[in-house]
Amino acid sequence: MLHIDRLQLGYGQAPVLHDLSLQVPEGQFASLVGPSGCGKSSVLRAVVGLHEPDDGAIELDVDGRDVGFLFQDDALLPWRSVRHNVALPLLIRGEAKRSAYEQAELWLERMGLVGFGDRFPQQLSGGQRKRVALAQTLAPRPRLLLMDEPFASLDAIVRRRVTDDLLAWVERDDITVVLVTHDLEEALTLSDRVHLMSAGPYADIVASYEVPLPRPRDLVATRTDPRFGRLFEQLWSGLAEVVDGGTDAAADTAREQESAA
Amino acid sequence: MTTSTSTQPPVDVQAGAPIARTTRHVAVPTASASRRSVWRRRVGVGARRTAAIGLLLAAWEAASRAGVVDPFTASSPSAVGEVLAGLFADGTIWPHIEATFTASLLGLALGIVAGVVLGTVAGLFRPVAELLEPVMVLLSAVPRVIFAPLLIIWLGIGVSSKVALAFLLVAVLVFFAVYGGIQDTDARLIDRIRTFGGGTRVLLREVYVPAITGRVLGNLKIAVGFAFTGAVVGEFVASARGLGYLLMFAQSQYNAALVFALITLIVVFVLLLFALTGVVERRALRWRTR
Repeated sequence: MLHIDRLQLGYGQAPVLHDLSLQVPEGQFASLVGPSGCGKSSVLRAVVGLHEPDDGAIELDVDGRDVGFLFQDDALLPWRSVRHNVALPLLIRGEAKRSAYEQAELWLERMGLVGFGDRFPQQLSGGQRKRVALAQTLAPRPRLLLMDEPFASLDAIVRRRVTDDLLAWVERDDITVVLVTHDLEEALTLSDRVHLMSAGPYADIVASYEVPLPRPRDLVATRTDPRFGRLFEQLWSGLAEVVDGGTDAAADTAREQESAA
Repeated sequence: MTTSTSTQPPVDVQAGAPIARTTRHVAVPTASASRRSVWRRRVGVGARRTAAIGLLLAAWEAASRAGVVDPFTASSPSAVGEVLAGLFADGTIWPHIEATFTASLLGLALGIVAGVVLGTVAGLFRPVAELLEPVMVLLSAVPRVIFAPLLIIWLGIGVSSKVALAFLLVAVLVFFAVYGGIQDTDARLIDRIRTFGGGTRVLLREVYVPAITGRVLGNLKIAVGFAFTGAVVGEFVASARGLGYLLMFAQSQYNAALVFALITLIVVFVLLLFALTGVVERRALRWRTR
């Protein structure tokens, strides 16, 4: 679905990513974890064309229109109604206003926001706004969904509910996902595969972990699975090495992982 | 569509209004009750303010009649009222009102248009900003009414020099509002539209125009005040008509009652315009209310 080959990218003179390669097959839920500032978000921004890479190739098996992007901030238009915000991606691709609004209402209903269409984003709570952003992202039926720390700003309970809802749709529609997060638990509970990035500059992926837990997943049950604990430990020590010990040690861990798998 | 998603009751929607209705019988204030109390408080505030103004006017009148203040220079509310009534009764005031309104409203409209156009272009194109910004900063740093004599030399003592001064005052204000508005535009909103495949046209329609409209409306009251200042100061400097002209005339005659009458008129007009812009603002900027 998504093929990234030797991606290089920087901000001005400052290098960020170096020779980063990543394969995400169709239907996989992949996570990118790594130390703060390593360039996790830049990978996603490069995929959707918000950041021009210096070198390397990014290939998608789907049209750019089939890619959804859920930002950390809800980034809703404050001056437009909730309904218009959700309908916006559909309107941009040329759907008639009426049908776009109808679909928007449907997605608001699915996100538990019946009757909120006429409100403005500022009149909603943080959790509600996140649901609106989710409805907005899912309404165009993306095949590939990129998410950049989407739930970081939510409190624990709201976060779990919204994540539950999201996971249900991802599993139902078999959406391919790349999630950027610094929350290792979140990465493990949601993903099929977790990729660990090295600290920047010149960051790349140093280790990848398979998460062989069954689907559909229940967020609580998943955490109590004994395999979850082992994986969490591995991932945690991998991250600690990346942060403290430079990339070589982590790369060794990665190789061990690969050969063990 | 039979996932847990669609059937599950949403958690965080309780903030909605319906809750208030079910608690009407409890001590919790309902939506309509709280609206009533807000209304009552507003009426109360209005009554107290009216009383305060009335008291002030009564004191002024009494002081003037008792000779505590000089009735000639300080005038009195009754004298001012008489002058006002006289101005409207014989109709002499109308051409002056017309002149000042024409100048300020025309200057306001042209100033808003110029400010929006220049601000937008500067906000979107860096080289233009580099060219315009120093000029605008200079113009905003100096009291722009100092250009009045120059404008009268160039455009004559007629209405156009007053329009020009009102325009100058308003345009610089609106320029900075719009220019700043575009620079402050949330980059995340732009990114979001881009990821949906939206181009410049969509960005203009969904992001820039609403952002600019918000900025302009947010500054509309100040702009109205500026426009009147420009028109009246222009009339002070040289003119044959207008409320500013009348003010200068009243001053030259040491006619304090007429000065007060004209001040009252201008205050009333500006307050009316404020109320009007307030309505426009509230309607257009509904999204700001939480």
